[in-house]
Amino acid sequence: MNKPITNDLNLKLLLVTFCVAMFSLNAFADTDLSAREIMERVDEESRKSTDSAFTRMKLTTCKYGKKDGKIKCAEKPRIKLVENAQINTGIDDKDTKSVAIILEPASERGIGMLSYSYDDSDRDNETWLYLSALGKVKRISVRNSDDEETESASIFGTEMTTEDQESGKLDDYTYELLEQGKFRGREVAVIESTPKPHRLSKSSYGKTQSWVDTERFITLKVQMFDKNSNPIKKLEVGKVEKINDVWMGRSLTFFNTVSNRLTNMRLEAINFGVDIQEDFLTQRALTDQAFREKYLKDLRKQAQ
Amino acid sequence: MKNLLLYLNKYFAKVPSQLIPYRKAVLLVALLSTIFMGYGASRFVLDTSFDVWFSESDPAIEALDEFRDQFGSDDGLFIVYEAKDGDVFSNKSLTLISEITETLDNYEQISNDVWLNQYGLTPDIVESLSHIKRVQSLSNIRIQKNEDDVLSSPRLVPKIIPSEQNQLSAISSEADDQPSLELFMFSKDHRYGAISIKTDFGAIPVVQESDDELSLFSDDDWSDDFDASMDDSAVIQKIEYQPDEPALYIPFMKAITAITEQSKMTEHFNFYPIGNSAMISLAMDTLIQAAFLLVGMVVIINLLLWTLFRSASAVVLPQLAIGLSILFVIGGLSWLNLASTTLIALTVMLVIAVGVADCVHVMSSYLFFRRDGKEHDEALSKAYGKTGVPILLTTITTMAGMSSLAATGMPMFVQFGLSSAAGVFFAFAYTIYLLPVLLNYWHPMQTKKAGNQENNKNGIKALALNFKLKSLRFLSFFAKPLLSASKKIGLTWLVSAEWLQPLLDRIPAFVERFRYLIAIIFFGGFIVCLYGATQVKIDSNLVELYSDDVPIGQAYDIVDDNMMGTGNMVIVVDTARSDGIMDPAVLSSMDRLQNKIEDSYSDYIIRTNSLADLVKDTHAIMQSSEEYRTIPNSQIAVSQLLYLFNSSNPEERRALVSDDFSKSHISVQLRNAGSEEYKDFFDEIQKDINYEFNTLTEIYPELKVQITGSFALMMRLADDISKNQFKSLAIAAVVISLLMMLTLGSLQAGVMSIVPNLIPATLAFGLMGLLGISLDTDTLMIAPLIIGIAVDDTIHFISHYRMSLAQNHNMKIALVETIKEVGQAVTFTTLILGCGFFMLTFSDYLGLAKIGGFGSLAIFVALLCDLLFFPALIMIFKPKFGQKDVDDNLNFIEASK
Repeated sequence: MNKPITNDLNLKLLLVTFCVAMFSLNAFADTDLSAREIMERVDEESRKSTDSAFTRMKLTTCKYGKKDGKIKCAEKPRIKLVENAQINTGIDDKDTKSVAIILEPASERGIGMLSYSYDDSDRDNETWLYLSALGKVKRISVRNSDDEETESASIFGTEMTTEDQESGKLDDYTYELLEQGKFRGREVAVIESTPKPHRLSKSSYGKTQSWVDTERFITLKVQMFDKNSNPIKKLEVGKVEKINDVWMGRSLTFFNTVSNRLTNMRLEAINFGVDIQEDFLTQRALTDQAFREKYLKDLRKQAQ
Repeated sequence: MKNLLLYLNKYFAKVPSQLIPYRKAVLLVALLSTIFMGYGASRFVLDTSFDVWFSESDPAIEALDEFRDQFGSDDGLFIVYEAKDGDVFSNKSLTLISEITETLDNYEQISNDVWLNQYGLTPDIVESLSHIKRVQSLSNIRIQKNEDDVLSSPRLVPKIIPSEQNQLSAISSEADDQPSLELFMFSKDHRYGAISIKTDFGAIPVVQESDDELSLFSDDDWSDDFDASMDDSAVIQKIEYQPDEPALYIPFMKAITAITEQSKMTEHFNFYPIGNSAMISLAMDTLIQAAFLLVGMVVIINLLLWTLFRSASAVVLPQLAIGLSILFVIGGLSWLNLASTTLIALTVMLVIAVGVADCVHVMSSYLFFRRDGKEHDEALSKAYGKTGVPILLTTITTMAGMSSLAATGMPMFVQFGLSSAAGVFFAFAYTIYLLPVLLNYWHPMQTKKAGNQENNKNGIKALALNFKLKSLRFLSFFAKPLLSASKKIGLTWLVSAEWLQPLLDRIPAFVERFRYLIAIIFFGGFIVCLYGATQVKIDSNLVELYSDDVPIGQAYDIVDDNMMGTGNMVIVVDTARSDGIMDPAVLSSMDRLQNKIEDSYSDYIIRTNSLADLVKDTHAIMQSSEEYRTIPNSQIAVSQLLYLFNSSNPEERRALVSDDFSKSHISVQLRNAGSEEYKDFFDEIQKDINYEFNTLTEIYPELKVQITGSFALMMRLADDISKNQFKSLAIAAVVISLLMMLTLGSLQAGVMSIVPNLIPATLAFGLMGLLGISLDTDTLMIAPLIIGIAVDDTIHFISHYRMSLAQNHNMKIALVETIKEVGQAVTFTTLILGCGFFMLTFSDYLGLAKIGGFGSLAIFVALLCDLLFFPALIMIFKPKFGQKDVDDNLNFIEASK
């Protein structure tokens, strides 16, 4: 209540989400890898090709129920359509600039966010928020030192949280290989990740179990548990396709099994290595609609 | 009816002699049924959850469940602290509070050894801290800043707490500029601060079966062609919550207390925990104290049984009656798969009272005849002949009284009433059918000769007897010095009842001399108490349930005076339409209602908070101007202002507004007051709500705005219980009176018995009304008990008198006989139970103390009614109880001359 405006929505995370489901072409069917090594491979694969990307995604959130054994939305789903453009920049391309614009619902159309994140930990990340109905831009300041204390935030008010999107930080967890076998027709290893104590206090989860395709190093399913080892959430990865030489799940569904709500994130369009000018990723992209539309039109053309 | 009573008299007189030949069979049946019930009792379940007070379909509980479903638990812990240096913003205060906050926030990072050595907590206690969802204190709270079009939310107090005074002053003046933090985190004078702990109590979902290792690869309901399309008929799995058990709160409070009560903390702070967790933990402490007092009650009962009867059997056998009856009740409930509630404690008290009374009446009568020179068998038969019918009558009336509780329809009371009635019945069955057999083996005034003969006859019996003698000798080793000491100070004379018979002998003449005065005093007292009873305020106030020595009252006062207040309620706004809450008209109504009730009820309401406040705050921030601290006119603007809030912590957003933005709530912080005041207050607020939201019903025909929250529910419950109890009490009085008229076989006798019956109960309520002591739920529960016990003695008295009158056709003989025989038993039971109940007045928990105080008062007054008022009535009105040819000469004064 006292801190509604604390969460910088670093949209880099959105892309990483899809990266969770990425894998490389040279499939690696070696199942003798340790749990940690498997997770390293998944992380490595997911980091490929995040440069200069344009995406359009549809986020569908609803309370779900079952009909004839199939999961369905039990109420009118809330749908958000978001376009996002991102480039890597700075020294060694380690900084990121991105802009995200909401297309739907109508009440939120035109809300935009511009994010600059810097590799240099002494430099604060910057995020600008634009509310179209008020015509105002505000910079949201979150100090890096505070950042790690910031609670996990929901992405666009859906069941996805920033913690669900995080990648890397492998040293923060211990990994255990629970079982190997066939799962949905693939060779899969089930790996349990447990946060180390310093990580646990910041995490919403006590542990997670990932079903990793050991041929393609793609995560097919993740089960999240609370700190008392009760299952609370799960992620299902679907619609696996090859895009720009990269395999990805175009449909990610997060199930909050406590509140019976789900969010389905579907990649409507995606393109990597598109030509995005740095001068587009400025505040003008938020406030100047004509300027923005011209750029986006071009990007949409490039995307599949 | 007269024939029936005479027949029953004869029947009861014959019971002992008919049972003795089958004594082994009787014992065997008793033993087997005890084993059966004992086995059942081993599965005894005590349900202490809050929900047991409501029937499952209660709309109020449904509303609360729905609320928790939507917004999570409303049950947190608020620890207010007083800084002994007078400043919560001093370096020391902030440093120590930061330490507590860190410990609570990161409890899982502290090793088991540290928990054990530093805090004395075992891992299972520490585990309970997992119920903490969020800890907020001055040391970690963030403030919103809006400077040069930059929004930030830095900590109010930096992680490294400054020691420079000017820096600390800057922090405290920065805090003063945050209206949302004042009263919530610190008091206006900076003397008090608070740690707010949000928990999941009351909203802990029942854990669904987790996938075990084997099923890791058995695929579930997922299919790759999933699309998030809608199907109205999809079945949503209902979320079930774990029952709200006090057992959850106890270790939690223990862990919290261990952290706050470290010596370095208590040297600098006084802590005042507020909230359900603190209250329940306190209630548990009082329960433990109550258990000790109950033990004290049993000791006193034992002591009196021993001194009055001078016989070990008189001590052991009544307690066996109590023990078996309670075992049968608990065993029966367990076999029926019914969980007991805390009210079982009252059932136990009732069974103690009834069991003791039943046995004492039989044994007192038995002793009376033995001392009169009768042999064991004859004395026993006569005792049962005299007491059987009255015991049957008291059993019926008490059972009827307790069963009338079932009329309240509240599930907890239905069970309490019926199981108590069963307990009373078990005590009756024991007294009539098992006691004569047991007395056959072991009875007071056992002749030594008989003992020796039996000694020779039967080895086992000899062994038992030997053991008994040995243990008696062992006991008397300790008891003798006490007895001789008490003899010196005249205590023995007092408690051994040597004075009783001479005193009883003088009663008839005394009553005759003062009969009109006695009648006027009692009747006058009755009228005054009736008036007093009409003045009784039915009011349950959480704080007033405790005596002044318990710090909770102090804590509530401090929090009500300096901080956010100790109570809270929520007004749920349900538009029944998606995005309804984003409608500026709805938000404006919420805003206006908040202003209205904050102004009108400033005595109760400290502050209110809702989504409307959030929208106004965000509006002002985004427009960088206080002029815009308003609800915007367009729904799109509202929706965009809420965008950031939507995107922040979903748990927090969900705690304030539902996922589809159809429902939200206004939370209202309240000062503590009694249920009576609050009931009116809730009614008034509901009127304001209706007035404010009526205009919206055209746009939102299904709009529902109502008050809920566990505090509001508890207040409503207290009021409901009071009303229901009052109703059941009235039913009990009517039922008992009717039964009396019926069994006494005469309207005259019935009417005459009602007034002495009603006096003890009226006295208790009347005194409360006259002394301005409010009647709370706990005190009300004692009422059936008081009536039950007081009525019992009167019934014994009246029915004995009536039987004697039927036999002797002489009022004088009947009255003398009744006073001498029943007077003794009634005095014994009164002394035993009156003193026993008096023990409870020492409880810190006023609910129990009142039960003890008024209970023992009622019991003693009932004795005076029986010994003085009833004889006076007989002497004045000379009722013949349907008998003919009665000698109504009641001239005692001349006779005694």
